[in-house]
Amino acid sequence: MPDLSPAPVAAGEMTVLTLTDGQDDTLVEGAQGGFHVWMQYAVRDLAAGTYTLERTAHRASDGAVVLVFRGDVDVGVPAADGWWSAPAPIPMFMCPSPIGISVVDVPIDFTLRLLGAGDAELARADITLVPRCPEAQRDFCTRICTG
Amino acid sequence: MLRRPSFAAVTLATVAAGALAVAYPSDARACGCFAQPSAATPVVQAGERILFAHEADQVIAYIQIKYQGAADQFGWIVPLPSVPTLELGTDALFTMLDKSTLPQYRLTRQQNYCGGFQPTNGDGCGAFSLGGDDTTSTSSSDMGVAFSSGDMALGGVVVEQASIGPYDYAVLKADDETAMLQWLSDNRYFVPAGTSDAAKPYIHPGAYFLALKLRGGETTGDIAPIVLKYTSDLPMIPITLTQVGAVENMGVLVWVAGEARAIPRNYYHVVLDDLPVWFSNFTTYNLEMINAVHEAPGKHGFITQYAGSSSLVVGQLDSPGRYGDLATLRAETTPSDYLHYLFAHNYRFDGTLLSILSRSIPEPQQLIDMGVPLLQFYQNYDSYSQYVPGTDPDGGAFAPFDPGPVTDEIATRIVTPARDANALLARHPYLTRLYTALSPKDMTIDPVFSSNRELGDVPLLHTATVTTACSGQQWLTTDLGFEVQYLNGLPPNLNLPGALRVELTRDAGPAELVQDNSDTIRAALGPVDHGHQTSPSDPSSGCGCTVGKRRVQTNVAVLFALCAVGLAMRSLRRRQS
Repeated sequence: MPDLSPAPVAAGEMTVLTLTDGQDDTLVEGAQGGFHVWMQYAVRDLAAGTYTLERTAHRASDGAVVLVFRGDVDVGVPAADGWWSAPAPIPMFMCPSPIGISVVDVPIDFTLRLLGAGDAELARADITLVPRCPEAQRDFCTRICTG
Repeated sequence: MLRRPSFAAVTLATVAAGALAVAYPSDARACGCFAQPSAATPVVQAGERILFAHEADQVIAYIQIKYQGAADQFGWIVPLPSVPTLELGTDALFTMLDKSTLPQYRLTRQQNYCGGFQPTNGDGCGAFSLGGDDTTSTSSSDMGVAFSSGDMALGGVVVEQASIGPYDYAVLKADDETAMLQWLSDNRYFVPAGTSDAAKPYIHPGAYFLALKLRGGETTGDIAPIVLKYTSDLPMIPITLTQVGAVENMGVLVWVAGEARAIPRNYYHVVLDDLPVWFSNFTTYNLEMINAVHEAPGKHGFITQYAGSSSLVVGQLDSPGRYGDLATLRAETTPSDYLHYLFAHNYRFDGTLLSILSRSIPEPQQLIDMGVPLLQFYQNYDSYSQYVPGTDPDGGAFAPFDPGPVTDEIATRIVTPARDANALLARHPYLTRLYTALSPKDMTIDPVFSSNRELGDVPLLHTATVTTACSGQQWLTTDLGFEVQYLNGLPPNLNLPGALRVELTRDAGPAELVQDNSDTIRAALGPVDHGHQTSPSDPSSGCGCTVGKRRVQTNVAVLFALCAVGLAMRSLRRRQS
């Protein structure tokens, strides 16, 4: 199975960071008043084409659904090393969070899946992060991210 | 130039809007925030109607803007996550969506007789559609997109400044509230009191505001829906900002076109207890919806009025043959022929078309003075042509008429938006219609819409049956499984919950129950006496029914005799043939 590597981007930065499971990640303010985790990913050994990218997020403690989102993505021709990197980070929509589900200061399991015909899983990456509110907007962030 | 609002259009609006008077108490609705010129002339926002779709990485939002007030005091702002593209929409889209996805209530009356049921009124009486908000706005417009930003020295907070149709608009950076509000004020985009506080959640680096105002010379009747396309994952309504100019219980009607059923991500999902709707003979539907959503915590709830295939709306805006051929229309050189072509090809003579036509085929002042509505003038143009200055008494050519500009405007303002909207709906197999009503003080959380592939459809049709026993009182049975005894043909006067259930809907999995009023409702409804309906197979009773202790016996011999006569006649016909 191709290797799909997520790499969340810190607030305000557009460089790829290497994060590990359990690491804190500051939520990035969305322009309409929300807060999100942004991820840039790369995929190896996958032919160029249009696939379905499924983004999911669950609260690690109890599996509560935070996000399930599907959309088409155009995967380009891989580089010589077999990797293709998404041209820009994509948002994992966190806040406003679903009612009753806090998504800050607790581990959240994120999964990216590339799906082919018939929803066949072609690539998958999992990472657990602990989203944190940005200090400058802590009050508002806490209000809309704690369910 | 439109000289006055079309009487016909105003009348249509008044009559049709009455059906949803509670949900839309006045003629002003939009997504975003109306900017009030002053506290003394409040501009109310009484409702929002929005169609959302998501394609690639973009949210597409069709937004109907309605406004009451002076043209030079119109202002409208909305926060956006990225620089949007802007197009003109069409009111016809919302009229069509409203009509096509409006819940229908069908009441069947049945007469209980001889151990069975028989409809007494064919398919039942009371097939009822709740009546759409067929509001026809009194709008007119300019045409096309006239970008002027290239001539302007942009900078500071302004990202883009241009014109489209009847609007001047500006896209502003929202990273500095003071600078943004000052720019709006300096450029006569009115900023109401209270905007500063309400806008705070949307002010930060990387965010934008779109501001609209009417171009000079345009009237409020020129206000048209707009289509915004912007990079974002999930559609959201900036309702917090909307509170600045909203009315109490402002109706918010949202359609989401997508791959699966849309859900309110951060609002409760409310299932309407529709017994009061049946009891009121459907007249209180909107009031019951408001009552229902108000039972959600924080009054933050949405009712799903329809969820299912989008096929019921696809093709309606662009049915085969509709709009005819624009080249042919452009070749019609007399007003009479031009109008005949429009009528013959199912053009909807709404406010937009009336306004466009009024510039090229103006109603004579004499007819205006006589009180002849604009629509009536066009419908009977040939009869009224004697009043048109310069018109040949025999109905000949109307000298100044030029079909070119008016056809261009019709193409830009009516045909293209309708076809684009139809194409958008056709690209998405699923459509969800959601409703809520919010008062300004409750506009504290911006609703976000996501989807859930595992939830079932919500049909348009709701059914119930009123059964009349052989003797005794009628009772009502609804498709939600409730029964209630009627007294002397009338429903009981009960104080019932507005919501049947309050739920949480997630992006996956079934709805989670927050509050279930089923037992409360059943307890309030009380027992139902169906009478005793005997079985035909009961050898001791024959055919009959019992209501209470009173037994009603039918004449079985007569039934057998009728049956025998029928068989005999059938046998006779066979022999003859």
